[in-house]
Amino acid sequence: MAMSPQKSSLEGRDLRRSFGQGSMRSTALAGVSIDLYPGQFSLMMGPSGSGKSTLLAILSGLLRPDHGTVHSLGQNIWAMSERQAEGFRLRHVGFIFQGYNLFGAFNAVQQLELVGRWGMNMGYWEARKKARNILDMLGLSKKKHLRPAEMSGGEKQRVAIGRALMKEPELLFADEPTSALDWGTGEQVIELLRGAARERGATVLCVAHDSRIIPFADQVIHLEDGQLKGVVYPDGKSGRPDREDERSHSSKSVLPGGEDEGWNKGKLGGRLNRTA
Amino acid sequence: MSYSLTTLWFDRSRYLPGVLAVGFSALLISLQFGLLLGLFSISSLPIDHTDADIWVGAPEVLAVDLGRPIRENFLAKVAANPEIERCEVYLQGFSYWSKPDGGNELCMVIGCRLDKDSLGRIRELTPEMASRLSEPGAIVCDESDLDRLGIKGVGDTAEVAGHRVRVVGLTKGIRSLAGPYVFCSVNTAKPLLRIFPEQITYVLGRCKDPKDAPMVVQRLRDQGGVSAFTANEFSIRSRMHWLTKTKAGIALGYAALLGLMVGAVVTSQTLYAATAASMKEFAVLRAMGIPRWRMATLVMSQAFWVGIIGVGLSIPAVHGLAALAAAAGSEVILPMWLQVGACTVTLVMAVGSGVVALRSLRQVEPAMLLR
Repeated sequence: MAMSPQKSSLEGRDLRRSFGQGSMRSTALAGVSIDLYPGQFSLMMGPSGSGKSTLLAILSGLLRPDHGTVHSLGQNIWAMSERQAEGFRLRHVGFIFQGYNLFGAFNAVQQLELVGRWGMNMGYWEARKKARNILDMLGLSKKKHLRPAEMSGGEKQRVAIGRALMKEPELLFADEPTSALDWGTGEQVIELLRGAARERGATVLCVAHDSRIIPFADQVIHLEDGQLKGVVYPDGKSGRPDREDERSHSSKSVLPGGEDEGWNKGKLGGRLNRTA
Repeated sequence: MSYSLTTLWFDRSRYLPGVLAVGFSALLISLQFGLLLGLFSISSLPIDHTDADIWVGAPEVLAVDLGRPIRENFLAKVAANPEIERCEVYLQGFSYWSKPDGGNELCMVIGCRLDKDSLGRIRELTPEMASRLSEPGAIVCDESDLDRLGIKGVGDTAEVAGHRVRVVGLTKGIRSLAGPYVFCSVNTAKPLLRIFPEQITYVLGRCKDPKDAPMVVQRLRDQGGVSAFTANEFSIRSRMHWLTKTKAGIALGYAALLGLMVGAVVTSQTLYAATAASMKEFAVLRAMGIPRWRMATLVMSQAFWVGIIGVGLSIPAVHGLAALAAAAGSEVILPMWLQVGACTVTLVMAVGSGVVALRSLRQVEPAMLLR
């Protein structure tokens, strides 16, 4: 994949953010600029406290930066009013978090249906049909009527992905979506996120620790101490010559080989298009 | 099933305290009011258990048992109205009962005509009792008051206001409030109440068409010099007087308010805790831009259903406890307006608790999901 295949869909410039006051003040981001592109699965890595989640929160419109701008789909999201930003997120943004955060009372269909009805003003049957289609696509045909307590971690995360995909978002943010999963299950989740980028043209930004994910990414963004240390392209091009070693590391990563019943690896795009 | 009902059923153990609190509030309000209505219905018993359409008494009479003497010629004034089919005199007032073995007891003497068409004779007085009451000094009391009056039954004698009386019959279920009811003829009642021969307490009237009663009452009021009421008006006036004069209404209001407050606190805390437990799920929806009002609607809907279920549970409980109270000798009157009112007030309380619980939604912050 090329370094800049097309116009960026998400553009952060000189982003700075600190927390605390006085002597307790700590800098989470110290002037980070970043570009993300539609159709790309971008991976953001770095040690704990490097500012990954802060950057994701700022880019996704959840946390206001102290300084800098974020242009998302051509719009300066931090110049928007709170209501406008909420409307923007409603139309364009999906989220996946490490903790699944599914309603304990609802089955898989209801988790997705809720977003359709509340977020997209869909009718009951329309939302239900779309939720079922997405769950089929995610390989959860036989799990539709299970509640979170009756599902495995991987299944729950797939439901969470389905919930994020209900709105067909152009921007998809995932914060450590695999850290609570074994590698086999985590790989499936990553495949899904990559599929959302490749097949639907979504801009996907995923924060993760696991270097085994690197080969799946179109670009890998490295943060350290709140600063951008480099952007690596696992297909061979690096944003910074001094980080070439990262590419070689990623090329040595163990390729995933997880398996799961009902899993539809590689077919996400086609199915997504049919449900869209 | 709606999202709110699904949540309620799934998390029923969490919502149960709220449901029970709502049910308890509705139960408390219904039973307290019902007991009080039962208690004060005793004060209007002479009106409610007789067949008069119109009651005419001294000016500004506050309650049926607080009637003052009026001249007997008021009877003619009432009879002069063309709508009146017939009218008659009626005596009622407090007096002192001297027990055979010593000691006094306040009693309520009622003197009325005793014929079978009498307007003032309570239905519980059988024709046999009425016949015996025609003897001078004969009285009838309720069997529940025997101990209070210091007598054992029919045939016993005592004194009322220094006049000897003899018990010729016993009614059943005529409970009394301030003093036991003592039923007798008009002639027996006059010395017991110490009023002049030409004085009475009320004129009772019956209309050819009961629908004309309000019109006749208004005409009598316009003429002045008397208080005139339809039977229903006078019954309510008597109950309300005792309800307010004894401050029982205020005590009841406080107790009901306390019940409501306890219910509101428990319900709002239940809803608050349940909402707070789903904070992260709500935060995801907020992150995705789903407006806060959608979640607020869910919480309010849960509050509404908690209210409906709680009130629904309270209805059979209220009737069960009312039956239990009746078996123990305390009448609980549960008119439809009371039941609907108690349910409505409690439901409003439950929905209000939902509004209080909404403050937990203000703490939903999507950024909390990012570590």
